[in-house]
Amino acid sequence: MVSEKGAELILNSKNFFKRLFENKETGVIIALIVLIVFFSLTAENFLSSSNFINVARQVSIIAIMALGMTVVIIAGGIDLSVGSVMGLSGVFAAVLMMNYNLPVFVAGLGGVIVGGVLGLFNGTINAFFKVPSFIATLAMLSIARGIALLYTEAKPIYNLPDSFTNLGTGYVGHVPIPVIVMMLIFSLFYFLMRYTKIGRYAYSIGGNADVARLSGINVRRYMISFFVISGIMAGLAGVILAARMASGEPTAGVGYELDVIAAVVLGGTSLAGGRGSMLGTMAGAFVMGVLSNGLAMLNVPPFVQMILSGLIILLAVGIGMRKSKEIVK
Amino acid sequence: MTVPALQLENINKSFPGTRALQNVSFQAYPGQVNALVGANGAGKSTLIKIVSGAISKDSGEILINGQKTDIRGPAHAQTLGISVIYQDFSVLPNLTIAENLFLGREFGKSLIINNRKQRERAVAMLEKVGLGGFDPDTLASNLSNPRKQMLEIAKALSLDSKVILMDEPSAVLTEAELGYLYGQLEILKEHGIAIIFVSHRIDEVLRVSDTITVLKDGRNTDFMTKEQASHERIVAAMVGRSLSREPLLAKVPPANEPILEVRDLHWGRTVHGINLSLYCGEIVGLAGLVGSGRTETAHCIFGSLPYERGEIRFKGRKVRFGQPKDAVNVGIGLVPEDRKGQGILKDINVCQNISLASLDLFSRFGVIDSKHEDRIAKRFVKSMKIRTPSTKQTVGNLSGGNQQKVVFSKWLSCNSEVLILDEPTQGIDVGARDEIYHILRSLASAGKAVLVISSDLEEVTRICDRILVMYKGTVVKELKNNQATEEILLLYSTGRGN
Repeated sequence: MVSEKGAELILNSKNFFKRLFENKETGVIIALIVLIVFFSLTAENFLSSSNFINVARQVSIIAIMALGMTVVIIAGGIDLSVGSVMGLSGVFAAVLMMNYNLPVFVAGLGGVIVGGVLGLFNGTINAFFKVPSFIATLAMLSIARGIALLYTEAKPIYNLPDSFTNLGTGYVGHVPIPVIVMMLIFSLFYFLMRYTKIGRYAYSIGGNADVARLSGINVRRYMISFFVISGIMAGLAGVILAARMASGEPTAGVGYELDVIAAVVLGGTSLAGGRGSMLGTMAGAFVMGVLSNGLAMLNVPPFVQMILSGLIILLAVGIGMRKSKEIVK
Repeated sequence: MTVPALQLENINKSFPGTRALQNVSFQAYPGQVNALVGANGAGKSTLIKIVSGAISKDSGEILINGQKTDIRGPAHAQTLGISVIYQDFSVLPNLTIAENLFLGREFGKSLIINNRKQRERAVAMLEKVGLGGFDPDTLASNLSNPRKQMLEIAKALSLDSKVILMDEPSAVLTEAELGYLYGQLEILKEHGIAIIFVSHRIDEVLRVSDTITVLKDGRNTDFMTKEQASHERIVAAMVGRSLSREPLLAKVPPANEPILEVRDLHWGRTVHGINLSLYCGEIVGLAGLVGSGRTETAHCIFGSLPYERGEIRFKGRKVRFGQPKDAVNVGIGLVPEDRKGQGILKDINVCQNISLASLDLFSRFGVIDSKHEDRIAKRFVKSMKIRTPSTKQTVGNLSGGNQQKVVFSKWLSCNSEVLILDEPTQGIDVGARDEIYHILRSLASAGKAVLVISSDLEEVTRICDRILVMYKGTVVKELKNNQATEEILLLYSTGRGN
């Protein structure tokens, strides 16, 4: 005989597991745990705090961009320009520092602002001229890269000051500064998507823009602001990358948009919009980071690594799709 | 009676958490229209899915022409002679009529399709269903809804189906187009087809059916032949109690000053000089045929369509809403016709749907006070009698009537004073419909001004204090409730009044 309270507890725990499995992040978090356990058992030096810190630092730049991208994708858009925007932002910060002798902080901020301005451009083209975001940001991918290469004549800007490179290579205690920035951004976005109007409206617009508009939401204005957010994050990531490399590279971030989108999708965010989470995106970014780190430690050749990464993305997203279908039924 | 073409005996089907069907039986006789009636959630869709082979039964028997069979999947159902015509047609718009008809079984021996032969066969099939004279090379996207339906029927006939199941076939048709459907039913009956007609429009069921099976909460509650059937008997079996059909009108006269006035409104080719006034405390009906400009008028007022000419006054002041946000801010709410496409966010929960238009009221510096939000949502779930396990339930999982109540709650939670409702009970069963009528009346009594666009003349005469009839973009007649009969309304809405 189970007491009433006991029965309730059992019921609740059942609900807990049911809810756990209905959560779209669950899949990627399980994948992350499986990978960590696997590499801990197979790769000798994988399970150490210094390696974890190393992975976190590698992940941080992609993760920062992916967090911004998640907002855009949840709202039903996509931002293909993040790789180029990060490149231009890094170059711009370097130029402000080296050619105009602006203080490091101002120059860095300038790089981030460039990202925001490019995002504003993306969003405006998308919202007011009704150009699908896929096309608008694909064009920006080309434009921003072109500007970066044109201005620098395709030459990197070297010898950035130590006070700047500290942003990419420095530590607070044992934690690298980029990792701290990533955690701060994650906390901010987690809060933004769960507890604020802007987050709620992102889900609503991505769910059905017509419903949102007819409910009195200024859809265009919010869409623009989502692209600005994504642009700012790409700009920030670009500045951090420049600091880490101690140079403004006009070719920095080529192809990063694919890693960023992969992290978002791995995290269970639907490319159709309306569904997704920041926690999932973080886990998605870490899956990719742990994977490349672990495979490298196992001395898997780089090209084989690429094939395996692709297969694991397919597997993880495939499982996610199957699960969501079951819920629909 | 003859042997049923399709017979279901004691079908049971459970889903996790619910028993969708309990010992349900159903017969479909050849050459007859066999109606399957029930409110949303009664188990109609589950039964349809079992017949179409989309899901399998847990227990029970299926007999085809008296022979015990199992339906193993949609393709198998087709070879057994069962065709299903869904509400949202499976016609592919970018293919021609002929290509649609023979999709998946194209003529020709090799990879190359014998288009000439396919076209000839298509013409013959089209003639059978009264689409003769249509060029089989016409793109399906050029066909109107009733014609698409005819095309689906032609396809079913060409598959040599003996049982044709039609799921809410009238839902996508206008009043004027219903004639086509009824004609099709006659043709199918002549061919000896057993028609399963799924509907919750009682008048229509009474009109076309030979036998009527009623389901409620996953069980059979009544079976009747045409002779035994009556409106009251069907309703009683559907909702388990009888419903009054008495008008629900205002007990006190409305306010003296109009809250909303529209003068000489023009938009495109569909709205031609609309004049109307709305007073707090009353329900005004906007009757007329689909395409008479009613929906467009509503969207012009709400700021979601830019009108070219005319004037809108709100509380005596001239206004012009550039976007819906502006209308929402002064206190106007619109419940759109297309509930799934424009009314609800199906992936988001009840609470967040209700608060969508009123987040400003319970957020500070953009941060939502979710406790307050949930409290408001709970209040509406209670007062509107929204049947949902909790405010955290995803709205897509609720029945149509409950979804509609969520949309109402959205506007009430932001204190809208004017509610414009476009076909508020479309696709909603009688029981929930009756509840919605009572809700609307209590809103009007509480001082809201309500404008109801409806093609359902019975609905208009039941709840509207005043009725405006639209025809070709203008209001051609204004009637008091006691002056309006369904005949008069139909006369004016087809331009034959005066």
